[in-house]
Amino acid sequence: MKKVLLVGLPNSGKSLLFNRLTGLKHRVANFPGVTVEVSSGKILDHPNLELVDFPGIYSLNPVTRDEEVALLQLEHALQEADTEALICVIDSTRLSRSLFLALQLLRLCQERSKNLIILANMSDELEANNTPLAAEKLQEFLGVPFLPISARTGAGLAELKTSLGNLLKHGPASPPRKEFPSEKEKLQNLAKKLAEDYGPKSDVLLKSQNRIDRVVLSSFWGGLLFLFSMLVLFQSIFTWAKPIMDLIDGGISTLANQIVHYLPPGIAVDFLQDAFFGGIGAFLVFIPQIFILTLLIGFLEDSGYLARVAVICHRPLGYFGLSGKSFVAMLSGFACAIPGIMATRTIESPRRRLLTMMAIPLLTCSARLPVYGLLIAALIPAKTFLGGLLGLQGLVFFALYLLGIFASLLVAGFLSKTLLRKKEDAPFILEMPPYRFPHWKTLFRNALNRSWLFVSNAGWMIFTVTLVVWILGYFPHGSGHLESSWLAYLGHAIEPVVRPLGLDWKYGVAILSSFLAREVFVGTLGTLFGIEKASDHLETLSTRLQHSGLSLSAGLALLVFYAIALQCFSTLAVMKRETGSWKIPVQVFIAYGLLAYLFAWIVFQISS
Amino acid sequence: MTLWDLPENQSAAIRSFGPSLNDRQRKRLEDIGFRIGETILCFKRTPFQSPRLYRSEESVFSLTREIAEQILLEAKAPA
Repeated sequence: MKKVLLVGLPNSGKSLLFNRLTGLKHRVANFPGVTVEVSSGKILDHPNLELVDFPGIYSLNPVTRDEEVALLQLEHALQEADTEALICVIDSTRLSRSLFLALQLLRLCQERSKNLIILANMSDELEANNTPLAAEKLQEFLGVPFLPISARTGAGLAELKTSLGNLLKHGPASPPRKEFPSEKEKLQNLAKKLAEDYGPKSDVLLKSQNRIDRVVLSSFWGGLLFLFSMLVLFQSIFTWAKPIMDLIDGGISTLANQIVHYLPPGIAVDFLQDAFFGGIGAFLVFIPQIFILTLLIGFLEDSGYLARVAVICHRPLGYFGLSGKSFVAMLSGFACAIPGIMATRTIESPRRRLLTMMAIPLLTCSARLPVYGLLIAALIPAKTFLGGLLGLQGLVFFALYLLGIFASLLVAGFLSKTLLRKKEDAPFILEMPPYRFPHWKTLFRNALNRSWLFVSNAGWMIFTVTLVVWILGYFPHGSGHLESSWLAYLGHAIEPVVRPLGLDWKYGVAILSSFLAREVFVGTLGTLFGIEKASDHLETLSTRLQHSGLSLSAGLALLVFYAIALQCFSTLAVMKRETGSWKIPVQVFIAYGLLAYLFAWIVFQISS
Repeated sequence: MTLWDLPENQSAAIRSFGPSLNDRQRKRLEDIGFRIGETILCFKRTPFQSPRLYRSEESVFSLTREIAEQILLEAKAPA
């Protein structure tokens, strides 16, 4: 298979173009450094061509370790015989710096006898601001195809596909041996002159961005906007998702009751009712919350606002040893710790990166949502204020998010002043991306992908654990005899550990089963209460919890335990990959587990 | 004068870099347009010593005090 390499500045729209050309759905956002790994896919219409997307680079002179790795991979790919061409994606709105990289790549392609195509992305923004780019003049000067495109609108992609088709038909032909200076400084000056002579007027492009920045970054309005956007984000997870969650919950109950009604009583019906609908169904109810959270984070990221938030937060986060860029990684961590930990690669300072990585698992990720949602619905009354705009359950949810944030900051602050005090540091430099109105289709697709990934990743684990729990809880006496089941025998053995938290053996089993992935907790409890109740009618799990005698203080202890404990094997595995050994993930797992138990015990003792 | 001292909405050319900048940091600054002789505009000064916004060529960057203080500017010609 022949290869085409995709290279460009960070935040130049490479990944959006990659998705357009391959039909794949990689994550894109309006923030530098979103692509952190090399990925590849077949080009639609040209199945014999493989497109390889590289993380963004500023130049061929690496500064960070990740840039070094990316450039090394690029160098290897260029040496491969089946590499046909390199596509350099440049941002037309930042032409001078983009052309500097393009010129460096042009020289590299000349040395390696590879074709180069330059794509001037964001042509739609130039059109909207009526400040064009002289593409033909630049093509003439550089001696390689120079195509204005918009990965966002799809403009110019047909011409690109024709160019790629010609490339396949006629085979590689090295770019013309036009002489360009080899010194970095001369190349930079040439890029600057080309941008001035043939590029758009940067004053025009920056005018609206600057106007918005004066408000967004002002100490009063900027602070107010930040607090408002965070409040909306966290309130929406509970308040806005509620009607859809109720709809799914009702749908699952109706479906379960219908199916059970037409089947003869027996083990199959018991399994469907207790484990399938009671366990997995209870977990599926929380998908709307995950969807809404991902959608809103995507909106903030794509609008360009998150980079401003990183600036606003840099100083306060600095007190805890973190960086403004940590905020962006941490916000991703609210959806899932895994992309959050991977996003720490944009943090240049190894020390701040490690601190951020260790802080992220304490934030309220989407896997905690089912657990919180269930316990809040069971324990906190559904009171509303301000005409239904604010709800007590939503506020408790917000408080749990705050708990996660404070815990992560305190841990980072403690570590930065003790164990990680002397580690190497690097300063904070961040480019302000232009403000853009987010593309709704991309946002929805990203949110759907993330939700589906969540279901597909956790689904099999929840199903397996639910099945094991159901078998152990159902036998030897069947439904309605949970107390004399094999599971009860095992559960009573671990009960002394959870008894100080005010919990009985059933919660002990649910906690134990959720150490692989915390969302398993909901499925396990759903199955356990399903077997215990042996009812013909499926109740919601929160109702069953209310009837189970779970006290408010024990429920609060449980919430605190889940807020701190690191119950996610995938997070530990990613942490191991990013730090290079199991040492840190294992230490973090043990430390957070002990802290979770200690604080849960304190909360139970105080509240009861 | 250093870049950190530059008042809002004023610009000046870079004269040299301070000794505390290491090679990598200097390389990154040069890549993003903070080169000797280039004119930089202080676009926004933020309160509480937060990172400030500077315009270099066609982009706006946020720099912290520790790095902006290592970018030394040409003295302004007397009016």
